[in-house]
Amino acid sequence: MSGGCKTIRVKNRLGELMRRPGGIRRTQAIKSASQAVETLREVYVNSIPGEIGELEAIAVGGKGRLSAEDINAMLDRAGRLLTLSGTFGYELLDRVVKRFCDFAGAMVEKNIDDVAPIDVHLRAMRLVCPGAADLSEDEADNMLKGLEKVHKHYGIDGPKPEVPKSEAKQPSAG
Amino acid sequence: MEEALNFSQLTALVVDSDRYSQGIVTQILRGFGLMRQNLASTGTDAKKLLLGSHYDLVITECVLPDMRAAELVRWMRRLTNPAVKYMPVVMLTGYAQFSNVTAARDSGANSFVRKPVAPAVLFDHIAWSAKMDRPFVEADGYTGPCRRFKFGEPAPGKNRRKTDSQNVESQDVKQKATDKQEELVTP
Repeated sequence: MSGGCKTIRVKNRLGELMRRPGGIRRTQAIKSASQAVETLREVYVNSIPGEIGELEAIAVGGKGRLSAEDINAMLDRAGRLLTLSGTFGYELLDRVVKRFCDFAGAMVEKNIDDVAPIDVHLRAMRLVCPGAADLSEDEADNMLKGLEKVHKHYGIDGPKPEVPKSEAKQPSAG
Repeated sequence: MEEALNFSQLTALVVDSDRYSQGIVTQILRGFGLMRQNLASTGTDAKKLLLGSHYDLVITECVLPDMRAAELVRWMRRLTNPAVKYMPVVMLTGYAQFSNVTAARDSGANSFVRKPVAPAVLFDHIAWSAKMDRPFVEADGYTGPCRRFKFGEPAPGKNRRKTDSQNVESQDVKQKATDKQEELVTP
């Protein structure tokens, strides 16, 4: 094919199958799915401290310096934590892990290999991890401000703006 | 009244190396009534499963241990088997990987869901793929669902564009928009 563009009308097999009788309405489907996810809560939430431990192990293994490979491995692990914190409603942990991801991503871009700021984020995760003592609003605020200071010190921008929920609901085109 | 959608007839392939995300997506699909699911942790495993079994839907994480999901989707879109080539693909993207969305979109995925996956969002994306009759485009740099489409009817009111005639009736505006949409999907 050179410079050409072919448009093909494709049979929507998915649509055909899903319009067959015996389906489920949106409200009921979401309710059933939420209940099904809830059955995972105990096991999955209990694994959060272990996941933070995996991040700590990578940081310790770096012996004061972290390679881009180490940081990417940590980002991969942090993605798992975000899945857990986001799904099961650990909002403060979610915010700390997102700060960590912002920082770690920028470390790779700026060739920063210092493990100290990573340690600060990991300690913050421990503070807000399920099972840890509840922080007051002021304590939580101070902790997040502390992380912000670390970001500023290394010349890294603040947190990315959150996608409004109304936008997140709209399917995005491929 | 909400339209009922039947998930029980579908077979899905979930590709994700994150066991938590895999478990959550699996449970969400079960809640929808989609019981026939296979799991893969790598792109290579996914390719083997796609060639060996029949699926109606693929839900894949954007970054796999052995390849980007964009590579998996491009491979699917190049196959001659229409069941795989035109299969709807929902791509999941993590917080730290959001910059990969452009590359993933250009690979020919149907839609994108940001992690953590919420039941309502996944339902809407699958339902959208089921309801939208999007043609497929095969061009030099892209093979996948056509990306030129509209949601619903054109915006109400007259003279929304500089090129609209001053006195044109609202109905004519709608008709022109429909004609224009046809032009766009059939180059």
